[in-house]
Amino acid sequence: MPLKSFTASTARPLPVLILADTSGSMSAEGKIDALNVALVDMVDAFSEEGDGRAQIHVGVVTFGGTASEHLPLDAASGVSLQPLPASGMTPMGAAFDIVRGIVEDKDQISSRAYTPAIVLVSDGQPNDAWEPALQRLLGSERAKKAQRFALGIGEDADAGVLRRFLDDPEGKVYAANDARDIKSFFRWVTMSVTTRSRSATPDASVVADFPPTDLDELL
Amino acid sequence: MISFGASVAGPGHLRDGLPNQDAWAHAALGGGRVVVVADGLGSKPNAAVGSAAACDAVAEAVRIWLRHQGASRDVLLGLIHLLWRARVEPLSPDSAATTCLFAFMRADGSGLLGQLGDGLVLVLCDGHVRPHQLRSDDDFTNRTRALGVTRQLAGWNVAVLEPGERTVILCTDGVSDDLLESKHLEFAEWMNGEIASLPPGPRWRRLAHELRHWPTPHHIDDKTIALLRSQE
Repeated sequence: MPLKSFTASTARPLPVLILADTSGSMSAEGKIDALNVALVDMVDAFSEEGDGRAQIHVGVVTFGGTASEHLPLDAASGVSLQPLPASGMTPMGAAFDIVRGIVEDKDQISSRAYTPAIVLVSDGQPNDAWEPALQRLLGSERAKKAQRFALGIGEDADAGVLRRFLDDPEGKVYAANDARDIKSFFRWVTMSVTTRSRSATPDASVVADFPPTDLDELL
Repeated sequence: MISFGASVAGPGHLRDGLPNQDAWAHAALGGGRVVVVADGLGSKPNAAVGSAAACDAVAEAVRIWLRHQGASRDVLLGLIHLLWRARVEPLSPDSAATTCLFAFMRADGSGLLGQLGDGLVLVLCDGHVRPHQLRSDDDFTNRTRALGVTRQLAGWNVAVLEPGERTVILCTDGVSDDLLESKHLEFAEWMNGEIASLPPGPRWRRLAHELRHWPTPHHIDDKTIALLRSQE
C-alpha cells in the first residue's frame, strides 16, 4: 500500500481572511474601486505562490448594510473574486462574529492549517454592537492567535476601533488617503503573508519591513 | 524486540544546501530498547547538532535511570536536559533547540513514552491505535516546546506503557503534519506490517524512499519515522 493512502493530498493551508468595510461611504472618492483593485492584485499574487510550503487560502467577509461572507475561504489559485459593492451602514460587529465562526470551524480551517491572518479594512465607525463581538473574537482560542492587520481609509476611520482589533501594543494601524495607499497596504500584507508561506516556520508572525504610513504618526 | 527508523532531509534543506536537522536513534538497554526522534528547530543555527545530541542524551539518560531502581520520571527527564546540555556546550542551548520524542519499552511491552514539542507518538495495541498526545485543534503550533527552550519538566508529555504486546511509532512533524488523523490506524499497521516485515537493509531503503518521495504537495520539512515493537 503506498504512503499516499495515509497522507494529505494538499499542502497545508495558510488562511487569509479579509474583513472589508463595504458601507455606503466606501463608494465615495473611489475607495471601493481602489479596494477592489488591490484585492484582485493580492489574490493574483497569492495564486502565483508556488514555491512556499503553504497553500494560501483567501476568504472575504464584507460589512455594508449587512455582514456576509462575500467569498468563502478557498485556495487563492481557484478564487474568482467578484467586485465588492458599497452601500448601507457599518455592521462591523456582525462581521467579527462571522470571521470568528470561520476561524473556529475546523472544517473550514483544519488543525493542519498554519496560523491564519485577518485583515480589517474600514473607513468609518461601526454602528452595531461591535465591542462584545470583538471581545468574542479576541477571546476565541483560535482567532486570538491570528496574525492581524488593520487599515483605516480616510479621515473618518476610527483608529481606536482598529487598534483594539489589533490588540497588540506594538501593532500599527495604517492609514490610506488615496487609492495608492490602499494598494500599498495590500502589497505589504501580500509580502508579509508570502514571506510567511516561504519561511521555515510559517506559524511565526512575519511582517514585511516596508509598511505604509502609520496612522498613529499622522494623528 | 524490534526497532528501526529512517530520517531524510526535506526539499527545503536540500535546496538550501543545509543538513538534515532531524535525527533518530535506537539502542538496546537493560532488557529493553529505546527509540528517539528529534527535530532541530528550523530557525536555529545549530539545530542539527541539537537533534543529534537529543538522541544521544536520551539513550544515556535511560541507561543511567535504569540503574537506579525507584528513580522518578522527573529524574529521567532532568537527566535528558542535563546530558543534552552537556553535549551541545559550548553552543548556546537556544541555538541548538530541538524537539524530543522517545519510547523506552521492555520485552513485556511495559515502558515509558516522552514527548517534548511537535511530532506524533502512536501506540498500536490489540488492533487499536491511540496517539500519545492528540494535536490540540485550538493550537496552530506547538513550536515553543523544545530542549534548549523549555525549562519546566511540565512541558513534557509523559505516559507509562503497561505490559502487553504493542508497537510504538514516533514521527517528527515533517511526517505527522501531513498524516491524516483518520488514517492513523492504517498508517501504524502499514509500518508494523509491510515495512517491519522487510529485512533491515531493504527496510531502511524502502522507508527512506517513501520519505524522500513524500506525496503531499509543497512539503519542505525534514522527515523522520521510527518504530519500536515489543515482539519480533
